[in-house]
Amino acid sequence: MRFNGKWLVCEDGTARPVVDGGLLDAGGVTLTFPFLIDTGADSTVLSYEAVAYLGTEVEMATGPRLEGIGSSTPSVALAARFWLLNAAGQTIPFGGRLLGRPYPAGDDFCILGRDLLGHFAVIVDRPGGVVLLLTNPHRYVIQDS
Amino acid sequence: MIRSTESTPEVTGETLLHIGEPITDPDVTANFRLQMEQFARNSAWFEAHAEQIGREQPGKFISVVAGELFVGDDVRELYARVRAAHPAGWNAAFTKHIRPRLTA
Repeated sequence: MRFNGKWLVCEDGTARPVVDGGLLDAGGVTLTFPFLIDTGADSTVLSYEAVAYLGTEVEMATGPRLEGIGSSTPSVALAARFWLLNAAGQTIPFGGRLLGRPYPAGDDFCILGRDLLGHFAVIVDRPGGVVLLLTNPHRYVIQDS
Repeated sequence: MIRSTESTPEVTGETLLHIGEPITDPDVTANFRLQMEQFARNSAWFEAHAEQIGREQPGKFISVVAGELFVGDDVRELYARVRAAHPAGWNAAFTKHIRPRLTA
């Protein structure tokens, strides 16, 4: 299976690797978000905007603190579902106990961490402009020139 | 990098995030595909205006739908305005918190 991502140019001029997806609320309505591919993140973390969309319809517990570079922030733990569209046009559901940010962060994204990325070969190729998540039956080949 | 202060699933062996089988309902899939196409257009509009938005709206929440930019301090209130203005396309909005200005 193959998911095509892209490099999203943000307001600070930096391009970041993302895969677009839809977060489902309690009624099954999806709201779209870019999901940042972060191979340094232990866990998938929903942005404050995503947590706010889910609102009070979803039970949230206090989650572990999340440590970044030089700081740590609180989190909430919640059951959530999101969908990604694969390259074949199929809608693939993901779900489980996710963490989320209870407050806005400086540069907020929904983050795909290694709990999800660990299922895929992850290609984030800035010179080539390629962002891909691959799993069977797709794989990659490295060529010399 | 984001590190959880709890043991990670890699350590505990616990599966917290599940990947399901493809959704087979053709109407659901067609609607989601259309939504993602609309989102891609909203995302492209944001990218084309990202520098200006970053300059003019630091610290704000923004939402882009069908070439229209919405700005607010409260994201829930922003969602309500976007939904009222675009009842057919609100859920394909590109919504983001804009990075506050960095101080020296």
